[in-house]
Parts: sequence; structure tokens; C-alpha cells
Amino acid sequence: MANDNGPPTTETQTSDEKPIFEVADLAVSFDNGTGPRIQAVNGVQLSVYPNQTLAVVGESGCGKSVTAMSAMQLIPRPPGRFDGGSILFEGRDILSLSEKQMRSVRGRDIAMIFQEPMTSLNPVYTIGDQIIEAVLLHQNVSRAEAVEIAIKSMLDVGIADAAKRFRQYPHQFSGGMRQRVMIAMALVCNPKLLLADEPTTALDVTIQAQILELLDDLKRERNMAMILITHDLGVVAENSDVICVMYAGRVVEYSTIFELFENPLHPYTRGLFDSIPKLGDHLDRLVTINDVINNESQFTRLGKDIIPWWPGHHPPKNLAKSPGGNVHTLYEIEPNHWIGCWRTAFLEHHKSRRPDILFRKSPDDYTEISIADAADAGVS
Amino acid sequence: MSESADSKQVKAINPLELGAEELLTRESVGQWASIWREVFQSKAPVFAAVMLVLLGILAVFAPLLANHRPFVAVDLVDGHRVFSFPLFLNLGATDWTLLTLVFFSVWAIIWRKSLRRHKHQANRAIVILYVLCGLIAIPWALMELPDNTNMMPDSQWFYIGFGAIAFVGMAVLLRGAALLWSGAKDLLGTDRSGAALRWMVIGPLMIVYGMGQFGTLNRPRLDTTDYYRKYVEKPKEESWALFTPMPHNYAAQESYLRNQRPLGPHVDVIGSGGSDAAADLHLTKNTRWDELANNVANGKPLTLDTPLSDLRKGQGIRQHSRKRTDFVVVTGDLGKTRVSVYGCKTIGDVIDAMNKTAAKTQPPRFEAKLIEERGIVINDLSNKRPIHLMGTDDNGSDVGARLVHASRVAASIGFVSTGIAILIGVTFGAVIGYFGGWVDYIGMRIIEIFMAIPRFFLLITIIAFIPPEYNQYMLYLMMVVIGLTSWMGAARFIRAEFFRLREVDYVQAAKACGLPLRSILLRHMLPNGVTPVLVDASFGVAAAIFLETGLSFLGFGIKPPEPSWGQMLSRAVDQSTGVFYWWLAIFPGIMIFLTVFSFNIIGDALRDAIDPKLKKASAL
Repeated sequence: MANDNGPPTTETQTSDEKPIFEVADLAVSFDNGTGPRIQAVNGVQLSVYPNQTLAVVGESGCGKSVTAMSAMQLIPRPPGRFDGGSILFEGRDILSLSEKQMRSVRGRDIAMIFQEPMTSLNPVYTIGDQIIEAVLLHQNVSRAEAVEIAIKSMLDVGIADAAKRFRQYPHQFSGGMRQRVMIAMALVCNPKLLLADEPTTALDVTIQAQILELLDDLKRERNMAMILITHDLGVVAENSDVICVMYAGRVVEYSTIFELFENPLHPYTRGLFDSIPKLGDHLDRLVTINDVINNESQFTRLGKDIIPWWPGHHPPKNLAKSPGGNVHTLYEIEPNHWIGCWRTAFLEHHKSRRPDILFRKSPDDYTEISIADAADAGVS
Repeated sequence: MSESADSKQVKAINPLELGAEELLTRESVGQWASIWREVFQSKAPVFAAVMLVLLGILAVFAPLLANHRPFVAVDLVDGHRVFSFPLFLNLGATDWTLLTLVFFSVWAIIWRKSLRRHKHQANRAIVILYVLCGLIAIPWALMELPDNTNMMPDSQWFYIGFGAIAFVGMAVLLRGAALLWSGAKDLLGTDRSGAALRWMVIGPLMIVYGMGQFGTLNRPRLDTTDYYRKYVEKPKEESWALFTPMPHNYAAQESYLRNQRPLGPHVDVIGSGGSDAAADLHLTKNTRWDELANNVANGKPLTLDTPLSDLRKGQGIRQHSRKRTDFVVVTGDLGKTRVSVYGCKTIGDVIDAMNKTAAKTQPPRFEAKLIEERGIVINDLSNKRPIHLMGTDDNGSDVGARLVHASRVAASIGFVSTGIAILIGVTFGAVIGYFGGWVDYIGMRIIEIFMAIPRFFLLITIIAFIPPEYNQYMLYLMMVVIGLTSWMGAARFIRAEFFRLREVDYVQAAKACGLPLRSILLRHMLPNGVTPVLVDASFGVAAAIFLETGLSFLGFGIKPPEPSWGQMLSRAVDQSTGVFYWWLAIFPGIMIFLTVFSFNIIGDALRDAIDPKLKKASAL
């Protein structure tokens, strides 16, 4: 799983470049009817630079999607609630924006791709209508120009015969092509940040590879930042620069991709790697953890002060109980490698600061598949 | 041998030669097109659709199908032929609007096909035609301006309002024309064709409606000229007229034609009061006029109190002291012949007297005969007026004509009230479904309150409070009242759909694109959630027609002279005599049955096509 290209060339952080997108101590909770609120996200810290891919991994329910949806303010309120923290996009706090201001951010500055391409397109309109609508909304162009822009964006994502496909309905597209359309829709207004919420989960493996390559190429072409949410570590290894492992609404490990795959420090991350089935291994059971996330009663009880799983260590007594309040729980143990824990040894010897990694894989690290090849494969 | 076999095989598996190329490049079929395709898979919905199309034709073309005014009439004035168009000059704004709608719909269909084949020249020709048709409406309306200023309505705002509608319609038309004119070149063809089509249809409709109202406001609509007598029965030289298939006035009140059987008019004998001979022939003053007329109209002979043999001998026929009219024979041309039986001694003399009187006009209007079993039978020899195919009602107006005009009333009440109901229901349901929470809680309680009220009795109560001077507005009143009391089904369907659609990925994606709430609600959620409402609507139209029929049957709805199926049905039994006229029950009954049945069939098929799960949810 780890990259075998030798020791990675880690760029040193330059002070003049600033992250385009930062999540600081974000805490989101949901109303649970009669019971206490469910703390879905609890003090998450992230930062993304332009032309960088941040992968967010973790099991179902660990708060990956809620973090992404918060960045778009797509969390329904109620039942959702932002308990604390901030989301900075180009220095502006997204969470403080009104719905009207938010509408100009969505689509134009931050775009999102959803996991299920089969249901993400409106069945009653043609593909063209749906792409054009976003163009006309965000760009001051005539309809004819919007058509040209839409067709160009369809060509960019490798849809051959775009002028004809433009007038077709979603049911006339295959899953992979629909995901391409979704990408075209998301990228048609040249957003600065793309949130890809499990973009390949619903696709088969060959199409997965094409879509990921496509996203990578487009990202580099447009100098766009990308947050790739997934629970497929294989996808992460190939397509991301920085990786953020989440568990129970918190970040447990945050590192460059090579660093993490070489040397996973947190036991939960190690557990994740161990739970990947390997071809040729004879195992009765894969490694599992004592799961509290999917057990509602436990999660509700422990929700606020649940700590990342670290056998034999207990949280310090002075741990803040307010949602998102226990900041600076991520400790930079090695350069560009943070883990979240309360292990006394770490607390004494390492500083706690917000994770911030300016690292991009060099293009040599990519397996080169040209966009034309991807397009051909998608069409045939 | 093997070579030829190979070539055959190659030929057989080449899809392009089998016409597959056409299949591959086939035009995209939208969701609605595929739904309708599925609806018309079986025979019953096709039958129902044909019935509804026929109903639509009856409703739209009612004044052209049943009208006492001729299409074209030619008079000879000072040796010159003068053409006049009484029917068209008396059409109202609604008639013109409907006719224009049909005209433009037909053109629109043709135009759409031509666009698909990229016939730009044809498009431009049609644009010119559209604009010309729109422009023609203006001089027509100006020509029809009422010259009698006393007829002007109290407020000039009516004129300003309708003029404004026409003006906006012109703008809309020109916008559509510009779109269509330039549309063929850029924008990738079909892109704006739907919008252009809408502009091009809505524009002329608005012009025609506005100008039509502008021109015909407060003009007397019911002219009572007997065009048939003028142009057919007593024609002047070279004067003629072209009549509609049912040349009858649906609002006519012809006292001599009351309760005529179908295929009438039939000969009618009216006794003159106080005549002895009339008394012998059962035509006394004591005989109820209606009963007698009914007997004759039903083909019963003049029943004789005295046995025929006695009448032959002269017994039973009383001598008259002076000559006077004993009875009046009204023949099919509505000509009245006064007959006196002065000096008659036997039944043969009576018949002779009748025939002699009849012979005074040439050719004779009728002849009387003695038939042993039936007594005196009068054969109609007159030049009959156009037959009343379905008979007449107790006002003497043609049942067929009323049926045709009533179909317009039924269709307009059905569609308009359902339209109002859906507008309210969709808005209400969308709001409570999208926002949920306490909005939904209060909204649902309101819906439940409305559903708890029995609709029919509520309607009766509301209409009972309407003063009789507003009877002329009863049609519009019923549309509104039925609409306001039948929106709950649509609201509940839309609410449930919006609950589901709120969470659907493409709505989330639309939000993530930054689309405004209006676009999300109207463009992305509504078209996907409106299908169950469509099913509800097709049942709703049937229910509204049924409600109107029921109310009119009870006398609360449409008042005469305006026709309504239910009102016609209620006259099948004479209120005073209790006589049953079958033609007044059967024909409106068939119309009601077929209409309601067809709407229900279509609704069922639509429901099956859209969502088989909804089969259980029909709470109607």
C-alpha cells in the first residue's frame, strides 16, 4: 500500500503561501429527538492549499461528510447546529455568511461532487440544462455563451460528442459518464476548492481509476484545491498529498501521504491498515475495533468527551468538556506529522499546534494516464 | 457457396445496415413522453383519451357546432350580393381565444417537426404567419367597438385592463418571433424552441383575449333573430345561408316546441278553450295544455272519449252555433293552422274540415287521417325545421345544442377549479413539505380541518348565500368555490413528495451549486414531485364535474338559460305532472358518465405508469 518510490521529496513550508481553506476547531451536533445531542464533529482541524489534495479518511459516521457539508453550509439547521469553531475560506469565515452570501460561494468558490452519480442528476432535465443553470447563475454571460462554456466543460471531463450528449437526459448516461457530468457541473464555474465526497464509491474499479485521474488532471490544470473524502485507502495513496484520518468526529492523525503510509503512528490508523484484506493472507477475521460510533447509546453517552482509541492511556483530568473546546489536541510529533492523543510522553516533548502542511506530490509520482486516454476509455 | 454464406452473415450482423444508426441517433425521450407512452399501452386509456378529445372538441367548437346563427349569409341588397357572418360576429372573447389556441396548437405541432428537420425557411414563414395572425386581431377588435355608448360599462378600467392584456400579448408575440427568427442559427437549435413556442402561443392568445373583450364588452350576446325562417323557409331571391350542424339556439324558449321527442319537431294540436268539438276530441279547456302537448309529442293519437262507431254516425260531435276556432294544429315548421269543425256531424266531416283548412296553404302543411285503432292521426307535411336530434326540453330549446354548450361549462369548471385547487395545494404542500417542523405541523392541521368538512354541503351552504342577482356569475363562482374546497389532496401529495425530495442527491447538488431557493423549489423539486398531483388532478377534474352536475341537479348550480348537464337531468321529470321525458335523462346522463369515466380511467392509467405503489393510496 505504501508508496515504493523511495523517500519522498517533502517541500519545506514557505511562509508567503497561505492555505485557501481552513477548518478550525469545528464542532457540529445534531438533535437526537429526546436524547442528548449527537456530536458528529468535534474540534476538527484541517487546512488545504491551492493545488493540493487533502484526503479525509475514516469509517462511516466519523464526521467526514458532515465536515464537508458544513463547508457548504448544507447542514440542515435544525436538527444540525454549529457548536463552535470556524471555517475559513480565503480568510472569510464561511459559517458567519448569510444564506444569500453563501449562495454566491457555493458553486463559484467551493463546488461539491456527491458520491452517488445515479441520483445526483435531475431526471427531468437534460444534462445541458443542468450545467447551463449553474453557469448562468454564477457568470455574467448570455445563454449562447453559457452553452459554449457548458460544452467545453463537458469536453474537458472527457465526454466525447458533447454537443449531442448536451441534449440528452441523465438516464441515457452510464454511471461513469454521469460522474463526469457531475464533475463538469462542479467545475464549470472554475471553483477554487472542490469537495469530492466519495466520488468513486458507486463506480466500478476501472471507472474509479479514470475518474480519479481526471480529477487530478483537472486539479493541476486549474490550480484548484481538493478535499477527497473516502474510505478507500487505495484511492488515497494514489491521489492525495496530505491525509487526515478521522475517528468519532475528531482528527486522529494528520500527515503527508508518504509519511503516513510509511509510518502510521496512531493505533487507530494502524488498525485501519491492518483491516485491509491482503491478497494471499490467510485470516479468520480482519482486525476490528470496539466500535462506538455505530452504537447510538454509547456514542451519545461518550459523544462529547470520547477520545481517540489508544490502549492503556486515559485523558488528562483537565480535558475541556465543551464541544470543540479541547483545542490543540493534535501534537506535531515529527515534522509534517500530527497525531491526536493524550499520551503523557507526547504531551511533554512535543508542541501542540494546528496542522498545516504545504506538501504536494511532484507530478512524477503520478501514474500518467493522459486525459485523452481517459476520455477514449470512457466513451467506448 | 461458402463465400455467399459469409457475405450474408456479415450483412446480417451489420447494425448500421439494419437501420440501427437511426436508433443510435434517436432523439432523447423525456420523462413525460415515456410516461404518456406507458399510459397508452392498453386500450382503455386510449378509449378514454379519445372520449376526452371528443369532449374537448365539443367544448372548444361548441358555438360552431350548435348555433342558430349561420356561418355565412347572403342577402340581395339593391341587386348586389351582401355577405354577412352572423355567427362569427357574435362570438365572444372566450370563443375567439379558444379557437386561436387550437389554431396555434396545430401550427405549433407542425412547426416543431419542421424545426427538427432544420427547415429554417419554414420557420421564418411560420413566424411571418404568426405575426400576421396576431396583427389581424387588432383591426377586428377595433371594428367591433360598441357604437352604443349606453352599453359602456361603468368603469373605463375594464377597457384599459383588456387593452393592456392585448398590448402585453403583442410584446410577448414579438419576443417569441424574434427568438424563433434568430433561434435557428445559434443556441444549438432546440435549446430555446420550447420557450419560443410558448411565447408564440401565449402572445396571440393574449392579444385575442384582450382585444376580444375590448371589442365585445357588454355587447348583447343573445340575438333572437330567426335566421332559419329568414334564409331557408321564406327565402328572398338568391338569399341563402350556411348553418351549423345543429342550427338551434341553446337558450331558445319556443313555447310550441316544449318537450318534443328526439328527431322532432312533431305535429302539435292545441285545443282552443271552450270549444265543444274540442271537448269531444279531448281538447277541452280543462285539459292541461302540457299534458295534451306531451301526449301529442310522444306520438299518442288524439284519444277519443266517444267510440269511433258512434262518431261515424255523428253521435258525440256537438253542433256549433257559430264558426270559430276549435283547435290549432302546430306543424313542424312552427306554422299554426286554426281549424274549425263548425257543422261537422261525423268524424269523417271533422277530418274533411281539417284537410280543407290545411289545403288553404299550398302545399298543405298537414293531412288528417282516420285510423281505426288509433283514431285521428295527423301527418306532418310541412317543410320541417331542422330536426331536434335529441328532442327539446321544457323551454323548447334543443337538447343537443344544450348538451354541446354544457360540455364547455363542464370542461371549464373541471379544469379551472382543478387548476385553482392544484395551485393552492401545490403551493401550500410545497411550503409545509420543504420547511417542515412547526410549519408542517400547523399546515397539516389546517389540511385536516378542511378535509373534515363535507364538501358538498359546504358548497350548498356557500351558494345558498349568494343573492340571485349574481346568478350570471354562477359559473365563475362555482369554479372558485370548488377549487377552494378541493386542494387538500394535492397539498398532501406534494408535502409527502417534498419530504422525500429534500434529501435527494440532486436537490443537495442543486443547493451545492448555489442555486436560489426559488429554482430549487420550482425547477428541481416540483417537476419531480408533481407526478402524483397529476394523478390527483385527473381524478379531481372528474370530481369537480361531478360536483357541478350534482349541484346543478339540485338547482344550486348553473341556472337557465345557461346549460348544464346536471340541470338538464333534473328536468327529465316534469315538476308538476311527474311525466318522465327519457331523452332528457339519457343524453346528459351518457355525457356525464363518459366524461367522469374517462377522466378516472386516464387517472388510473397515469397512476400505474408513474408509480405502481400509489395504487393503494387512492383515497378518492
